[in-house]
Amino acid sequence: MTINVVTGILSLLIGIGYSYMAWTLPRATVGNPIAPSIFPLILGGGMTLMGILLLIQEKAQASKHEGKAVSFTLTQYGKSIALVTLLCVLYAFFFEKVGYLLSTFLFLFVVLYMFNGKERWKSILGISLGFSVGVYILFGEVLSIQLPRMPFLGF
Amino acid sequence: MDVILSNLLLGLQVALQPINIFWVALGGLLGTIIGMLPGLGPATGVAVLLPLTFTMGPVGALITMAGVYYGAMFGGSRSSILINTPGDGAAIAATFDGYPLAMKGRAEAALAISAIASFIGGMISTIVMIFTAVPVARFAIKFGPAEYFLLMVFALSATAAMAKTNVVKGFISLFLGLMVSTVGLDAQSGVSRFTFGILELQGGIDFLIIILGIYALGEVFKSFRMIHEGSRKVQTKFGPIWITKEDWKRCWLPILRSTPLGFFVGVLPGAGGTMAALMAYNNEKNLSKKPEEFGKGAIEGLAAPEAANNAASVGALIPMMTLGIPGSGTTAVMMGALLMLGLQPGPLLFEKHPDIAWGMIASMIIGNIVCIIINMPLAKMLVRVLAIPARYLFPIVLGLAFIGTYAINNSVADLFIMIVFGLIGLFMEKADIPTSPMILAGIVGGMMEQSFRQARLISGGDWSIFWGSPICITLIVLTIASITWPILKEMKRKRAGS
Repeated sequence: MTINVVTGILSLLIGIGYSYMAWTLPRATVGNPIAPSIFPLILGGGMTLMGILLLIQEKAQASKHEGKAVSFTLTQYGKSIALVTLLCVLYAFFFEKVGYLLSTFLFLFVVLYMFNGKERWKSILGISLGFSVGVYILFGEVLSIQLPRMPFLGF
Repeated sequence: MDVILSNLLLGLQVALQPINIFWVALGGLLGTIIGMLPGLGPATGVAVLLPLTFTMGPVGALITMAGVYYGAMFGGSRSSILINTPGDGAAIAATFDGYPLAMKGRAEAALAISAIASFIGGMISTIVMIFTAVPVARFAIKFGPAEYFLLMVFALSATAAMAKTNVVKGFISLFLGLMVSTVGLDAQSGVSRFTFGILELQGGIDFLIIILGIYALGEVFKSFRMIHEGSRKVQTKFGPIWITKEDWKRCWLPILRSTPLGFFVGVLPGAGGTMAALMAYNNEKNLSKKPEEFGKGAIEGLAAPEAANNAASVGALIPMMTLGIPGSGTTAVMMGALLMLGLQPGPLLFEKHPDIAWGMIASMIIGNIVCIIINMPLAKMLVRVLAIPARYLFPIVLGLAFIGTYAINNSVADLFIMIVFGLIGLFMEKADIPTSPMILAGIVGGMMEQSFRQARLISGGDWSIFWGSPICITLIVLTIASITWPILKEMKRKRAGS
């Protein structure tokens, strides 16, 4: 399966799913009852059509030459993306719960550590501390945008 | 003429206030630095720096953002010349001859001519913009909802059809963006659409979050391969950054030729700075008496694309400011900045907020002057940031993306949405789907549907309103041409190949 086939199938599914949702939207009580659905239905139809076109195109090309198959095994590169994504989700989750300062410091420290290793711990510590405190002061004091505080300590 | 001069005077009064000069200089400086750093282009720069402007007030914010936009265009080529890595897409052409020049020991001349060419290209284009903005806006004011809808259809299709790899993929990106714009409470009927019952989605998805997700998070994900590279060796000792008389003799004509070309390409939807720069480069190579020198350090091969690139970046602002329709990812971000400040770009911007519209145009003149100072005498200091390794830089960009997203609505839900769009951006990169049609569609989608529904309301549901006026028909023809042209070209190329 090539990446284009994956894209084609995804577009097809998104197109059909979106069209179905558009069609089953509640009818508007004022004006034309299906007014909120018309534009989305056009979009859903267009997306479905593009999915089909891409699949046809790929089929025509596959008979000529083999496309590059998608591999589902994680490369080193894929692993680090997955890990950083997980860290991003955790960061977002704790953003308000433990406050900006602490969550940002920890997030940056871990991500920087991932890429730099422990030999550079001094610069890692410096950057994560400098960034989190610097941004907190810049936003809180200079721009007066209050970032989430830590629940117990109050900053 | 008098009107234009008095408008310009008004703009200059705004732009020359000391605080605004400070903002444009700050923006230009930050933009230059961000533009220099590989992987971070003007779109990312404007997106991550936007939260800094939230409390400035619209004029200051817009002037700062214009400075960033402008600075990034100047800065992009610094890294092309010194480390053979373009700072943004439009600076690719600057690697062709810029890097060989630096290798020959002429880095000073390369840095100087690219700044001079950028300056001339940007300056001439700004002057052209001063004279064309109002007539375009006046013309557009006559557009009814049907015309406006079709204009957006044209701009979006042209962008999608320009997709380098595959027109179908361009349209997939386009439809995805439009779909995202329909999420949330429908303003006209109160029907909640595509929210999956999630409360946070009722208000719709803020396009700035999409932009930060795709451009900041997505760019970092994409560049992960670079992250283990060691520090780059960057030349830090320079002689005076200046050019010789001989250099100037070779360059002035290419600069003047490439400026209108770049400007015109910039105005067209979908084309943008990268294409302008590449076209200018090829054009000069074809016209040159010594085309064999191109790619080996021909100074005019650096000057021409640089002038075209900056001319295009000014040209691209015209449809965005006068019609409210951005033609590139970067101008979409600029438009996002305007909307964030509560300003609707479009024909009425010049009537309702002349101080802001003209203040921004005038600040581009100031910005140009500031940027040439930053990029010539101060260049020696600034290029040191190129030595910052990616493994420090990217985590910091992640941090900036989070703070930027949170600052928009003080909402944690937005952070999750941004992460999702970062992953979508990564998938699109893998699947070779262009992201700019999606960004553009995401930003104009709401207005597009509104015009569509208004038009149908006026006509009482009669579809013929969409082909009922000469302007409509022209736009339909343009749309069809913009889609079929690349397909025909591709077919012709294939036939010639087989």
